[in-house]
Amino acid sequence: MEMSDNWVINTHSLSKSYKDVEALKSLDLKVAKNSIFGFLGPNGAGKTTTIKLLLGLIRPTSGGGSVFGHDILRDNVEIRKRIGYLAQNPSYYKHMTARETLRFRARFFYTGPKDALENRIAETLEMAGLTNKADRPIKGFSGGELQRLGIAQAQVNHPDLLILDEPAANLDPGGRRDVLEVMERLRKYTTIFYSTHILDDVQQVSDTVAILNHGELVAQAPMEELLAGNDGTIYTVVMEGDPSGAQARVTRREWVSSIDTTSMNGRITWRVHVTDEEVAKSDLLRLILADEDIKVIEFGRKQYELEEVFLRIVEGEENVQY
Amino acid sequence: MSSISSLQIVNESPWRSGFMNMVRKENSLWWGTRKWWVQSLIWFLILNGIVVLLLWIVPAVDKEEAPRASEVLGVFFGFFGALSTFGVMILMQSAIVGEKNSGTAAWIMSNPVSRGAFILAKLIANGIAILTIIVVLQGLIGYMQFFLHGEIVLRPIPFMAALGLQGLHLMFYLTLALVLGTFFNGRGPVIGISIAVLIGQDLLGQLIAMKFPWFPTLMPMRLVDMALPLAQGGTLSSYTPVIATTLMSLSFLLLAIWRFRREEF
Repeated sequence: MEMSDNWVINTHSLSKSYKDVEALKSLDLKVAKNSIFGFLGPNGAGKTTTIKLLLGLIRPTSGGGSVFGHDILRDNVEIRKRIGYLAQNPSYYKHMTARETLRFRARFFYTGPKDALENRIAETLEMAGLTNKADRPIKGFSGGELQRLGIAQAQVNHPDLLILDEPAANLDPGGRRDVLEVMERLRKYTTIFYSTHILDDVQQVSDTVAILNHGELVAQAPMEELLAGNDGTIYTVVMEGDPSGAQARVTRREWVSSIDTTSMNGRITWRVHVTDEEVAKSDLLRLILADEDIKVIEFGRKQYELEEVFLRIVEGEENVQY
Repeated sequence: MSSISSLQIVNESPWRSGFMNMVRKENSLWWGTRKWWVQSLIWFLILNGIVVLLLWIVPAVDKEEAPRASEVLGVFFGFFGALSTFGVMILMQSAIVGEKNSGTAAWIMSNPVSRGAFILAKLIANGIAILTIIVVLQGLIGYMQFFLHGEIVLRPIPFMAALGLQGLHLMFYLTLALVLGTFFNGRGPVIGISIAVLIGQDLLGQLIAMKFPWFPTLMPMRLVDMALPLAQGGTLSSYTPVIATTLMSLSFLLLAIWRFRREEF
């Protein structure tokens, strides 16, 4: 199989303008099969515009792309046959019940015995926790219930690609956890492409992340690489005691490029920038502990939180492409 | 994943993808709710109520004031031509605009549904319902009233042909509402322009007739004018309005599909 077959979504210079506003600028995005792809960005970054372009709901101003190898402009009906989509602010027919809504959507995809269709709908309602509300008109649904219905309708067809625009919006913590569990469960069957601003959720389930800002892709990388940062390997040491002797010993090593020191409440924190991670792993702590007066409280390789990376990239316009 | 095994994947060509499901949904709005009998009752009262009044109640109260059945037939067809047209405008004003504004059109279009199938489903389901409830049902009831009254004898085939002209006239306004719905986002322009077309075509026809005398024969309202003589047993005086209205309705339909394909959600 060629590498290109592995890309479920592949865009090239995809752009969209509304009058004088460039909503999306020359997006080159690749989403691998069976990934959970987190699509991040501040409000107005162009996330929803990208999703609508992929679905054929709007037309690109220039550039293009493909989903499952189908052109997003010419073959968007074929694309939508394999997609489940939850919009940011979804609207359904308010006179329908949840069951009728799922039945209506399922019939775009399936034909066959009525029992089989009803079983599929019942399974989906169960998955979404809507079984006991299945036959109530949805005009009485709360925001959270509508969001659950949105997730249910998006996956009633067992899509090869699930596109979720802010899936955890309007959900309480329990609902958010359920959504993440559903996404984890579906990972082996489907590719999930979802936009969100809840960075904790992204860090928990995503394997790849792209960050969009002002319509431009400013970062796209596997989660591990993104969290490792792009400013070299850094070890963090938190200790008590006088570190001057240890600092002299450590600084002399050629694999140490610099040490940033901060102090708070009698504790000293070092950020040690190293050029050889393997040597640092085996020698750094020994060098520090050679001084018996020093007590090391924390030691480890610096791991960024996604929020930290996100803010650095978005506020600093740092470009990260792996 | 167990239930999927006995289900088959729907395999439709892209241009008509989602059509049958959309028609089923649109039909259910008419026939799966009380809408069909409420509309049937309303149109009975509007179109046949006047016939009941003039043909049965007035003669029972005052025989000398009773109009002749042929005059009542004129009133019936007059009401048919004017009021049912307004009815179509009201019934269809939000068929497209309502879905665009509520966001349901965007949801539908995120499914494997072609833009053409969306418009065609609206036309077919609403067309069938309007023709059945307003034209066929009310026409049949009207015919039965005149038949039972017995003063005039209406031959069934010409009467049906006259109803056909009324039906074609309504289809013109139905397709006009569809195309306006694709161009505008408010109900106002949809119903306002439809009313302007209904009222203004006579004036416009007369103005253009000063230069092109044949022009008024193209106007859809000629269908209404031709319906009464046809119902009374006459012949179709001209095919031109029939052909012109059919072509205009088809043009509206194609224009609606063309415009809806360019709609962004």
